[in-house]
Amino acid sequence: MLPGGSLLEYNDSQAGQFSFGLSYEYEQLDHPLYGTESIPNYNKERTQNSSLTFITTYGVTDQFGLTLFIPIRYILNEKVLFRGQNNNLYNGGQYFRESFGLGDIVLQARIQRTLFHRLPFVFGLGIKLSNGKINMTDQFGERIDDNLQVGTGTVDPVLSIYTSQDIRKFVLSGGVFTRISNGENIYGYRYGNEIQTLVNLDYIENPLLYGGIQLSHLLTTRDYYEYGKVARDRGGENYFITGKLGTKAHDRLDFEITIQVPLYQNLNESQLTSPFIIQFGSLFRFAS
Amino acid sequence: MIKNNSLLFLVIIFSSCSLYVDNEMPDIHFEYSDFDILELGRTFSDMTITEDGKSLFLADYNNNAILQVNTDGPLSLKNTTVVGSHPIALDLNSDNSRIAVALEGESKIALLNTNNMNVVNFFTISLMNVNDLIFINDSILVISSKTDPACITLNVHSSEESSQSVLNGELAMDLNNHILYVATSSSIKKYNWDGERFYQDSNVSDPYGFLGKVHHMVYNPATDIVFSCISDKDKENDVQHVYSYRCTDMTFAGKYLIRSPGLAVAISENGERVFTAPTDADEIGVFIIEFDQETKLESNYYLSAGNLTARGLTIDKQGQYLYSLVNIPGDDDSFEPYSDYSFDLQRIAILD
Repeated sequence: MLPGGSLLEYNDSQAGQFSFGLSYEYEQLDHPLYGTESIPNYNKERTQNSSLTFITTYGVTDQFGLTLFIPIRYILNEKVLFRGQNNNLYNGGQYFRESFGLGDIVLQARIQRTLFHRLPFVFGLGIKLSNGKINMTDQFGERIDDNLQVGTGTVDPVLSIYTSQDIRKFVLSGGVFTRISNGENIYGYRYGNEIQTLVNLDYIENPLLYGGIQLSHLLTTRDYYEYGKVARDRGGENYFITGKLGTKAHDRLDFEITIQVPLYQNLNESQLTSPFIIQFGSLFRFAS
Repeated sequence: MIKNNSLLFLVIIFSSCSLYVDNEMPDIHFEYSDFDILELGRTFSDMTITEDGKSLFLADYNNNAILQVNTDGPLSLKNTTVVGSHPIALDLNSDNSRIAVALEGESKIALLNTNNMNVVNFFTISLMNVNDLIFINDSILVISSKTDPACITLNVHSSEESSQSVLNGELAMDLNNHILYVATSSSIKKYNWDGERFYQDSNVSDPYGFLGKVHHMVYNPATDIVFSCISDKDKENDVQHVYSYRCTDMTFAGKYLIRSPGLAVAISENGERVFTAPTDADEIGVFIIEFDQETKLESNYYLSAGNLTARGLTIDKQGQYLYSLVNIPGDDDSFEPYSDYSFDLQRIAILD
């Protein structure tokens, strides 16, 4: 997921300015939901997702810039199999799958314009590449599920709109981010589309300490297998609340921590969810 | 110009809402619900339920005990009685006042009072490695052994034992007509009782075609059909069905596709609903599969909390609940030696 609503201005740079950011995100999906209801995790399954994203931004002009997101991902899925669920482990038992490496790189161009007389809007148009590996296998040499691979295998467009308004010591901002799936990968798997809407209210007392909250809505459509077969247990609707705390350690260096917790989730069939997502961010601006 | 393009951009995003709508749904034939589990953590060899559905008895093979479970309301363990070495099979008499227990590890049969779970009597028998027993009537039991090819009968009033010309195997009884069905390692055989002895009926089922390991057999009086769960001992044949036979002539009455050998079967009182416990799990879990007896097609799936076991499925006479013995792999956290298969009792409400 692209950093959205962060007070770290990953998408904001002046003409000729180069900035470099690091973002680390971690979640442990171990709580299964069926629709909105909590259900037993009878396979004792859990998935740990962690990613370290390098973010570089270059301002071509004050109104036009380029941002590159380079994620390094690690995914670990563990569960206890029942008898007969896996031919390679017929009698069942502990089973794990993991994948790691460079994820899909996102290149985004942004244009800033003032609309409605005084509101600054940032329009982002980007592309998510298909460079991430999608052929990781388990210990028996079987290819693991698509949603546990570090890449998606398709080149997808990424669009965003973002706006903000200063109100005394508060900053009210909001945006819409979407990734539209561009067909099947080489294994015939098509990811669903994704749209995220968010509203932030941030408070900046002084540069040393700032904080804020964010409400966000994430809608993901179902995935499809080859020949259009609907993928079960994928897609759904989520509402999250996020708390943010940041500090400007130096004129050129910012740090931030965010913790996101789900407020409401309505998922297709049964899916594992994470009770929280934690993110650490930093941004260093080079002199222009 | 830029403003118009920006607005156009906005319109494109918001008008493309159909991109975010799921128009198709996968076929779902089961529902998730929280499991109704009585945690017991033991290894069971047999189970039986009373006519009123309020008490369930379990043979605790490794702890040499019989457990009485109260099923009226929340599941709870009511009594535990130590009976002897490795209880392997159970059967209730007609009024459910006595329960007979076959001990695999001793040449003995125990008879318990179901009201207080006290042992009423022990009977020493000539067989060893007993595998099954069943009441013919309130006085006489038929007992089968894994190692002795012939079964015996035991009179629980006089302690008199008689050798019978009945092959060993898994037993099922038509109490009304005094007919015994035995699932042997090669076929299902039928024996008629004349009051003292069994005589083999001329009708015998066709042989399985392999050396069978019988996991369970049940007789349903409403349809006069026996159901058997068999696997290939040598694992050369890929058994994928539960088999059923018409009792009148022992011809094939239908097979139920469950994609792995059946471990246990339970039939509704009217014989119309057949519940099967497969050996293997589905990709997304372990299911008890309900079939329509008439069409032999699946009608419902019931999600189980864990792996199932032989004889580990029963139904109450009222047709409200299934009871299954489940081994939940994730809770095998015991470091006790010889305690790696610990089963719990799961209650499942039957769909209307």
